[in-house]
Amino acid sequence: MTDPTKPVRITRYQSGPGSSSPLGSLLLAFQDLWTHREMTWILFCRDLKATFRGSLLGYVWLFLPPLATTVVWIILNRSRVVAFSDPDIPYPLFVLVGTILWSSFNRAAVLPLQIFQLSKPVFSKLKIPLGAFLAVAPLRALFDSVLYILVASAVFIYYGASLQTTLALVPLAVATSVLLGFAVALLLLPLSALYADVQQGLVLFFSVAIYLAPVVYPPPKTGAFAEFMAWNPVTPVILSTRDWVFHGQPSGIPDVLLVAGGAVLVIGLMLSGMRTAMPHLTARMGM
Amino acid sequence: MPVSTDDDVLVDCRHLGKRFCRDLKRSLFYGVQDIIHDFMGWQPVGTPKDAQQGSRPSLRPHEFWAVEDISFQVRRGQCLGLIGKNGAGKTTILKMLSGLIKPDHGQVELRGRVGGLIALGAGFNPLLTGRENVYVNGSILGMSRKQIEAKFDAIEAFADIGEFIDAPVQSYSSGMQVRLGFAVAAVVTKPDVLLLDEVLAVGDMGFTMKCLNAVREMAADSAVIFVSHNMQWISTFCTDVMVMRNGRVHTHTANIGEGIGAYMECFDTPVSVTGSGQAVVEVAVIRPRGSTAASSAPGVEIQQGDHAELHLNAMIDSSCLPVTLTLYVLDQGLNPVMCFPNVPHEWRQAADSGRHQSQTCIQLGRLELNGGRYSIVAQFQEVRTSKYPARVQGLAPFTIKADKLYWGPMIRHLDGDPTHPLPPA
Repeated sequence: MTDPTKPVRITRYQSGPGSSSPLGSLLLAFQDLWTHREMTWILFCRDLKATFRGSLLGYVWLFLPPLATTVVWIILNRSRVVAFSDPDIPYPLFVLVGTILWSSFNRAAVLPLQIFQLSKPVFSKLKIPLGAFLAVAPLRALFDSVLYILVASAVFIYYGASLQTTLALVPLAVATSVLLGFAVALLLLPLSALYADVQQGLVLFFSVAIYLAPVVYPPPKTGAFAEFMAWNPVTPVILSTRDWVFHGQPSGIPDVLLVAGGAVLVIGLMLSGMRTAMPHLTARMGM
Repeated sequence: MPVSTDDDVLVDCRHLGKRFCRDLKRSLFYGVQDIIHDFMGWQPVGTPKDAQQGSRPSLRPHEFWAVEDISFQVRRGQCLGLIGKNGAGKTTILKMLSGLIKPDHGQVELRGRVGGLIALGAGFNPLLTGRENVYVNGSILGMSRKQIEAKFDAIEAFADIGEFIDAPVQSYSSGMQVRLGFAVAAVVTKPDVLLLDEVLAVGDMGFTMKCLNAVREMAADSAVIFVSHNMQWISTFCTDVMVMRNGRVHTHTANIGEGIGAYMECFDTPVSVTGSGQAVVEVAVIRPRGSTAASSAPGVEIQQGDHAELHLNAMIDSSCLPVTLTLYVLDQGLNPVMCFPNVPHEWRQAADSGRHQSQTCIQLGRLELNGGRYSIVAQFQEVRTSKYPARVQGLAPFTIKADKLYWGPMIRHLDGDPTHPLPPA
């Protein structure tokens, strides 16, 4: 069975710290993602099929949440419940851009923790690439965002919004939101694996945090809150995207790229960190 | 630094140790501590400051060594049986071997591919069909879609669940789920080091035999570590046995019978008395016939197929007489494997009137029992009323010594083996 010409793979597990360099393990983490891309895809398809196979409406459910949100904002706008004045942008469209990006971010931040919890029995028994399992989350968040955008485009046409060439930049904004969410999730993952507080806290956080970003209203110009919002990494993504969509101005691209780059770095660091932390987590999760 | 230069040693464990903590909150905190230490490149918490590389860390409060100073090697073609009571550390060792958890002391070295029949059906989603789940499970086990496609027919044939392959897994019986999971693992896994954790107890007997053959095929050219509580499997499969006790090696031997014997001794046989209490067993000693040893220590050993005798002293209220005495031999799992009805015995008036006494040496004949640990039940029954003055369980625990365990409560060698002469007709 063993080919004598092939070098035998020797695996060693020992006590004490590992010996790989930070950069080496960072690259290894990304390489791991790439090697196991097929597995990520298979798991993504599994979850997608499973979610809708057990339901009567099936894939219709994919479109219902964005549709519902959109309808709510249209109604609120019609009945003048929300006060908002910008002659250029119909309010529902303004909110739609914000919520699409926000929900991409939100999904990508919450899903990895859920996937981790659900897959604990597998992690505890099989040595499998954690990254490949978690990568299903950003993929799913991206997929949901695309559907959301499809629904939103109908609304755009309905309101007769003009098509800007800078619309082509929207995928960059969506991808950045997803990366940012995934980075946040990975930052929380080690603690979330040990303490149930994290997941509970995250739900609470997101229900409040939507108002800490310019999702449903424009950012204030002055004050401490304006200062805070400026530092929120989601802010430049949303503001730039509105410019791209409504004004045809390619503004804020460096900021968005900076956020995306930072998120990718954090993702790499955390994935490589999880490779170190995983044996300890498995031992303590006691499964 | 190569630990071993011998190419055939596929598993090499040196001074393996793992600390666990009984207190949950503290355990989680220690986990955070360990992760930080590992990130920073520091030695594990509790390592003495002036110590050399590889010295053992101390325990933190509420910690204990779940596995302590375990060293062993497994060569290609060997199968090491890991046995011990629950919580002895067997699974912890397996988890360290598969790299799921990190040793706190010592090291493991593995040569070649490591695989196991663990977590059968990992990743199965109940709503997906068996066919779809095969791809998911195979992918988790490290196969590409193409490889799974190539082996799909073999998997389907092995699982042998017919048209259910295209039905959602939630409509499967639990046995069918396991069959499918096992089929994927068995067809996909081609390891040099094979880890098995209680996997053979799946499906019906026909499937178990199929599994057994598959495992044998896999094991033929690899180093196997086999965890089971079923001593028959251990005896059938293993070339070596390691008995674990409280995280340490209790016995490590190539003599399977001896190893299993050591495992059996980990359990004590509690005496329990039922019945009206009008009879009392005062002494019960079993020993090989003709043996002069007087002790009734739990270490009584009888060679398989040897004659044995039971010394039984009992007291009974005279009003109960006449009574019958029935003896049973119970195995480790308290299943009766042998019965001696109407054992001849005599009662004599005891010194205090109103009670009778019996001192009998009962010839039990050949004990052609499977290797293992046994105990005796003595049951008295009144002839007139059918009432039970006493039923005493857990008497005279003894071990049947055998080199091998077989599948059956009674073992009789018919091949003229001089060490096991045929009993006279």
